[in-house]
Amino acid sequence: MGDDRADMLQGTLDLLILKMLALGPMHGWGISQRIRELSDDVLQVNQGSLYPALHRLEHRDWVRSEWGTSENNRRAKFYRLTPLGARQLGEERGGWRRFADAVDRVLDAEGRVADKGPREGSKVAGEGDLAPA
Amino acid sequence: MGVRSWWLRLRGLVAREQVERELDEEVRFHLDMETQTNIRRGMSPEEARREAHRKFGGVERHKEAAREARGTRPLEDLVRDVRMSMRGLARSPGFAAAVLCTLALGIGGTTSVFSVVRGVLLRPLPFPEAHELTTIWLANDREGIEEDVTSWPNFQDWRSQTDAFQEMVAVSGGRFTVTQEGPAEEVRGAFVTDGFFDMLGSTMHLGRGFRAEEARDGAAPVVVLSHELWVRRFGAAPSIVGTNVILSDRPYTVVGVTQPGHRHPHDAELWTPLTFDDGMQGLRESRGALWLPIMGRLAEGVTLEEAQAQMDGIARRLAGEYEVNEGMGVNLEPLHETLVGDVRTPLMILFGAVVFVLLVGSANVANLLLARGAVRAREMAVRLSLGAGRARLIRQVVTESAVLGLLGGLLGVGLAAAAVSGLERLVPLELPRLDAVGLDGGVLLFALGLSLGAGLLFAVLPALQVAGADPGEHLKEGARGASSGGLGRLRPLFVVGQFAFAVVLLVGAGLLTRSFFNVMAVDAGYDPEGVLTAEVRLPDPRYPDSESVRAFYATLVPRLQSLPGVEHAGVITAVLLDRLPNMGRIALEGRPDLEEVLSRHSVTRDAATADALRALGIELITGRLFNSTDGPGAAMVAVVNETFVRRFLPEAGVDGALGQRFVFGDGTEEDPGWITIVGIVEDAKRSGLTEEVRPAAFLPWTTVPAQVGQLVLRTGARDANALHLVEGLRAALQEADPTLPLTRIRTLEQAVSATMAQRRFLTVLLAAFALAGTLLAAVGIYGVMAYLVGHRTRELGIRAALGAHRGDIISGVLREALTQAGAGLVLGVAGAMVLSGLLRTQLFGLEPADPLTFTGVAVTLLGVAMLASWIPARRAASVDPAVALRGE
Repeated sequence: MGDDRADMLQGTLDLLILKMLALGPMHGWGISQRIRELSDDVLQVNQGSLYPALHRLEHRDWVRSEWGTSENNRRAKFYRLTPLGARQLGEERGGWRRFADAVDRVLDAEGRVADKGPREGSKVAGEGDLAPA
Repeated sequence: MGVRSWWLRLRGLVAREQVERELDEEVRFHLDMETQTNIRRGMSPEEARREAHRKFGGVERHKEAAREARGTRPLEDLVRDVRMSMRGLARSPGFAAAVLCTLALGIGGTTSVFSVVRGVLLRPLPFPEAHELTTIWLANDREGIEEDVTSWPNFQDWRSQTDAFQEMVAVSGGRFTVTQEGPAEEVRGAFVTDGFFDMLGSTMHLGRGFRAEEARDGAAPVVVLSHELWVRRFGAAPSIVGTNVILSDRPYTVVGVTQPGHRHPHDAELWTPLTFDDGMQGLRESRGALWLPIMGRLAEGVTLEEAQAQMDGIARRLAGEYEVNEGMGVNLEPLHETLVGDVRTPLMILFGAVVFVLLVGSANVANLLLARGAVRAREMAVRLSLGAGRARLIRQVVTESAVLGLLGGLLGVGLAAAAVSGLERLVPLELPRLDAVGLDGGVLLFALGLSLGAGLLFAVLPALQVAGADPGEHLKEGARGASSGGLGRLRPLFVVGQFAFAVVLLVGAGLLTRSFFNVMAVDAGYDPEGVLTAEVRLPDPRYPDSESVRAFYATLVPRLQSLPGVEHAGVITAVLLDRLPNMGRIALEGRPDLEEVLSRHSVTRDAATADALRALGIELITGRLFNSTDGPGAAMVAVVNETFVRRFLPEAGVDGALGQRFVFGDGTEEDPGWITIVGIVEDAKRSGLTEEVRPAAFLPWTTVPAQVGQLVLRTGARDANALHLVEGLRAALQEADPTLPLTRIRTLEQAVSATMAQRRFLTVLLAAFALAGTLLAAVGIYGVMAYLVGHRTRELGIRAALGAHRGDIISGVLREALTQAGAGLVLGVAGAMVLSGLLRTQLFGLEPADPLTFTGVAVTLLGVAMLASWIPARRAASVDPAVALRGE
């Protein structure tokens, strides 16, 4: 597994988590559930990498954690987005879009090199449209 | 990674258990929720849980990953390494003790000396803008005294004519007797012109400094007390300002108390304005009477060079205007330099020496570490082959060395603390700025740096051992510390280094010791054995004039002479000449050719009874000493020393000098005060055994008695301790005047010894360091030879089996030891040749490249090397061939 790929995937996971928390504070399990739901079961977060990711985000002060009570009255650690994290989310969104566009363009290539700009009929990644991981 | 990250790491380290629990709980929650979802999906509880666990992956592994992500790993590792190191050291107490002792002594010694160097030499004086404070010396080129004191008229002129100084004060030392509230005590004080405290910039603890009107002649006497004196003698009474205290039988009004630690100059404990009593008017007007030390504070923005140039100009003008100032210049010296300049060289020598000792000891520690590394080579090999990271092992070994270094440093700092706190008692001399010496932040930082540096330096060797370790080698049967074989080659190099340093240390100590004995062997010109001296001060109020002083001694001296056991007794103005002896200028009668030049020269001027000279053992060469005809009203006579004759009456010679006349410059027109020479005495080294003798003139005590007199008593018995006479002396003084304290009671031997205090201290300390260094080097060479012999047991066994003689084997080992030591000797001698030049100022009677000392040191060290190698050599010769060949 190349480092670049791991980084990219790590970055993607971070982005997903930040987005989830933008919708409201959540505990770790809740985050993984939501991602699965929203992606129609396509994106199943490797739960063993979820918590390291959350701790990483916490170190960067993009999320903060505190203990609270879950919906079924159990003690759980809730995470919420910080203003710094919200700004990071915005940046990463932009970056992701550029990345997704680039991948699309390459995948839709038909042998001609010097074409620029979107081609008719090619898919442009829009909001809520997540490419398969 | 910002602040948050560090906060989380800290928390991870400090509250580790809680953080672990939280991680557990979080994971458990997740698994429970997952399990519940699975149950809702229709799985059985066990299936649900299993599925949940499976989805999660290895729980431990992920917890580990989360911990990794927390980023506290390196710190946790460090803590663990340190713990392991401590445990490892506890398991090898012998090794640990040896290393820690060596390091503690080395680092402790170096830190102690450094704290002295820092306090005395490096710290600025405790005054604001202390670099502006300057001593203003008179450059007496005529007599070749660069740092001389000046006269009152000169001081006034300097002061008024310069603008390079914002303030200039005269500071004259004196001694005062304190009799209130306790036993009579003599304290040092200073007479200062007003502006003294302002110039220094010192604040008062109570009260104030002096006002201008208090410095006028005839003003009521006032005094400022030092904080220490106020506490010691006056109970730290807050109401002392405004009250009167009695000093030397005179009342002074206290106007202020200084802050603690303010003792300038020369440990003064009280200050009073410099005024001129009736008897002192001559000093006020005489430009040729040199008695005033001057200090000043440079004006803002003025450099020392600029001030020096201006003062040079002023001095030239004065020299042109006044004959007596001819050949007199000005010498400026920063005050700090004045105070510590003399001790700089000895202190730096000591610092260098102690660093050498540390280096020699460090070589031993390195050897010990190498040995330990060899012993643990097997353990390391096993761990390596079991998959331990090499980097990890190296890190552990480095940590261990660092821990050793820091522990040794900690112990060393403890030793240094003890040494520094006991400094006043240990150091028999008055170190300037002793109050500034202590274990402050800078010193501790130095010690920390030294410990860490040592620890990390030592770490290099075991680290290299681990880095180069080949597990396969070690796990083979009969492997013999193969990895250390490579590094083991370094050991003889350590010996070479140790011996080189030991040579330098021993040469230094040897040169100083020989100098010391050279000084002791100087013929002092007087006989210090069996002589008791003490000082008596007659206070002004009760002894206001010469008549009363004369009368006092007329009753006292005969009593002293009749004491049992006293062979001679008398009184003299000074026994040994301290820094500022009583000097006077003379002019010789009828010597028109010499008068111009020589009349400007000064001689030491003392008053003495004839018996005092006899008591001191100053031999009469020709003529006579004083007798009863030489008294007030009779013609003035004097006894002079050989140097006087040589300098001023060279053609007359000793016999021709008798009957010649001379005069001191303080006479008047009608009565110049001609003095006839009636006797010549031998030269006496009263300024210290290493100083040149000055021309001296002794006047009869009865004609010029002084208020401060030194009583001198010589015992008749040859080997009697002169201190036995103290009782009788006290009794006699009691009879003459019960209120007078007897001070400075000591034998002449003690007084002479005190002049050598600094030299003795330096010599003893350097000898101690040299001894320590030599012992460490001996231990070093012993250790290395023992190791080499142990390493070659097999080879030696074979040689023995083949019929080699015991003697041959022994001499073989010794030869190897001598080679190593010899190489060290060569290096050391070269180094010592260079470094001993630095000792030049401390030597007396021999050159830095003294061949006898060098030869002696070389022979000694070769002997030490042989002696230390003897045991391993014998062990080599007694190897049982059978045992060795079996190769256990």
